[in-house]
Amino acid sequence: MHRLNKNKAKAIVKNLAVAFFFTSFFIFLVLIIFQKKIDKTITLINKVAVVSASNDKKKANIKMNKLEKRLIEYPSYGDVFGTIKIPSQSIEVSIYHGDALRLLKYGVGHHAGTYFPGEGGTILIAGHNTYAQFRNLPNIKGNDEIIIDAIYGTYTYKVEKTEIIDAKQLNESLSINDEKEELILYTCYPVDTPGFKTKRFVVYASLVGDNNEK
Amino acid sequence: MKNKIKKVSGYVFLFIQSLILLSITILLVLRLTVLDKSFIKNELNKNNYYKKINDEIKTEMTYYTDQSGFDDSILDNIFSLIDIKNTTNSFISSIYNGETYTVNTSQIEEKLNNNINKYIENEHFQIVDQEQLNKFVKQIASVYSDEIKLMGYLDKVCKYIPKLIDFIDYAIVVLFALFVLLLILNEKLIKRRDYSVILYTSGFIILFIIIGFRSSIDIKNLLIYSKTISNTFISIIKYLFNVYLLISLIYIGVGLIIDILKKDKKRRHKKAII
Repeated sequence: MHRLNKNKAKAIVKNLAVAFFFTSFFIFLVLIIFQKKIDKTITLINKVAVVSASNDKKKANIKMNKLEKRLIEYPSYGDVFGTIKIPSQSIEVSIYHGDALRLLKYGVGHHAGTYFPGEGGTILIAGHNTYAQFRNLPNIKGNDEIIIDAIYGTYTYKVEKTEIIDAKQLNESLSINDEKEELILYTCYPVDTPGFKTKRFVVYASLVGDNNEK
Repeated sequence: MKNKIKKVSGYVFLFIQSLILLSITILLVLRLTVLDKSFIKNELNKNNYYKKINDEIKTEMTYYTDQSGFDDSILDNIFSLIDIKNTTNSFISSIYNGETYTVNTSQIEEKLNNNINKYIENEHFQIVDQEQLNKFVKQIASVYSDEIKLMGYLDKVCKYIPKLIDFIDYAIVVLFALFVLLLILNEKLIKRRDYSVILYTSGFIILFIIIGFRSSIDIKNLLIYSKTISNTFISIIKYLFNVYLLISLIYIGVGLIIDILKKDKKRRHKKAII
């Protein structure tokens, strides 16, 4: 009986070893032939894997490096990083980092990929034409003051000009300036008729004062 | 020499049979799950997909009412959960029939237009641009259509799906016939009867593929178009992984049982001599 069990165990181990060899051989063959394609596919799939911001939430050190004119750390996409105030039009609304429609529901959105206030380039901010946001923006006048009260500093801008452009031309019309700090705000236009808005009211303002001491 | 050749060809037979069994397993599971529309509909029900996509469409639509000058009340009752379920099921059926599906949004547009007219009347809007209103209605209707049709991504591939199903059905039959043929040939010519090796090998390879996928792909964070669609997709992938995992364990278990129940050759031989 004992001998029988020993023989059976031997046979099982032998068969498992053969199967293990076959498996290794198969994997070896597949990797040799398809290694690059497999790597490429895995990379592609992982590119659509987005780690939720809430999984990785830590208090960021959002401060301005005055020498380099760059933020030490940037706000996360979807975070509020300040308030925009236009006293002449009684506008005061939170600024979210990001321009997704889900964010614009709660405040104006700072386009990711444009500069942050104080960094010396173009800052692009979009808002809805609701009363809570930029409904009064088309009433703005030249030299009106716009204040951005960010969590790392306060920046004041003066309105240079305004214009109305076609929504389809938005990307072509608004260029990013790396040399000079310029604030661009826009909202859907016209604001007094209901429906789908095909135009945008754009405000251009330049920096007149900053205070990074926060 | 002849014996050695027989031994090697026996192992080659086992290896080929293992690969055939592996292919049959992979294809059969795909055929009975993702390539079967009733499985997909069942998964959607299980994941409460219709309710979630209903909420997602409503939220998405409010993003457009924010900038329109209307409030969200204009979206009231323009579609129902039953509409969502019917449209989604028709869309799924059309995919498996290889047809491009067009969502009929005329009822939504009609109801939305009625709501807008009432709103304009109640709010006493002075200036109304009909073109803007028409574009807004079309935009809202396209939100409904895009969410149901996953932005039309499947339009390009759906015509290949019936062909793929036919091909897989055919491949399963051919592979099964080949597997049986090899079994007969093995029994008659080579007589290498370590069939447990076929089950072990298929089981190990499936196990390795599943472990490889799970460790290299961040499945739980995949984001495809929207959260609801992603969660349903992830749930289907996890289900597939579990099925393959279970099959691999069954193969290994059955292999072990075969080995245990197999009569001891040497003992039988001795008994025969006595």
